[in-house]
Amino acid sequence: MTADETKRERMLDALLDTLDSPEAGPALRACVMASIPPARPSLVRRHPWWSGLGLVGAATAGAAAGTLCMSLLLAPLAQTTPSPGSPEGALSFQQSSFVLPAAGAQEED
Amino acid sequence: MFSKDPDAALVRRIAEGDEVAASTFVTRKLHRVLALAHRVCGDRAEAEDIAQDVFIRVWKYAESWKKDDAKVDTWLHRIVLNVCRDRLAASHRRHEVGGMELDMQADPGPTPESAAIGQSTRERVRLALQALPVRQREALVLTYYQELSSAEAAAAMQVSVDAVESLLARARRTLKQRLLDSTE
Repeated sequence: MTADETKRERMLDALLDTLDSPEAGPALRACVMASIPPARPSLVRRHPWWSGLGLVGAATAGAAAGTLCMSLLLAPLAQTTPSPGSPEGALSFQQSSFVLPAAGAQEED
Repeated sequence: MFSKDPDAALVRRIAEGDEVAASTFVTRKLHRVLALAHRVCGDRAEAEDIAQDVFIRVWKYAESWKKDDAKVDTWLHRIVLNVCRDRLAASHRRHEVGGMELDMQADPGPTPESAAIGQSTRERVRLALQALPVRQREALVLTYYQELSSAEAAAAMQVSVDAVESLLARARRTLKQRLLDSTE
């Protein structure tokens, strides 16, 4: 590189140095800070699979609660099962002692 | 490699959702991000928007940085350049749609009128820098103002070291013509 070229390089550097950069103002800093996502709970942060496990746990608990509710609701219905000999029982495949009245027989009042 | 990187632990903590680490990262890097964005895009308000976008991307992609084979600073510069390119492309499209073709390659140069009103040296340098093709401007800003090595600039720009050196040489040659020859 010639002396003239070196001088031109230095002059260019001097010109480039005049171009300063803006300072980050407090408003910009506040905006950027506001964009920081909220911290996740430490347990989830360290063991991300815990959140999945929690989901499975909640689903299992929900299923158990549902089963319990259904069994409580159906319990009274189970108690109304027709007793042997009742007319409703004739509809089931059970041995019934119900005897159809004979034709022409009068019902007792 | 990462043990020598002073920001590596900070980014790992950010990836884990540590707000204090994120705050420290902003304090440490905001000025550098803003300076790069301002010199590449040439507009203060635009540079501030870019800086905000950059940090949002940092929070979002901090986890993926672990897999990346780059220093945090290189990674951060790459994010800034990507956001700048997106913005410049969008701005270019807007100007085209509006019928005002913006030619990034064109040299606005100091007009006789602007010279007559005594345009400052700083403004001349800023305009000359903005008139450079985007890649040349990025190479110059990264190596000269951000003080990255050619290898680091190449990693940030995702090009080869030879390409960065070529871009840099062309940028300096063009600037010398525009800034020195016009005054001589």
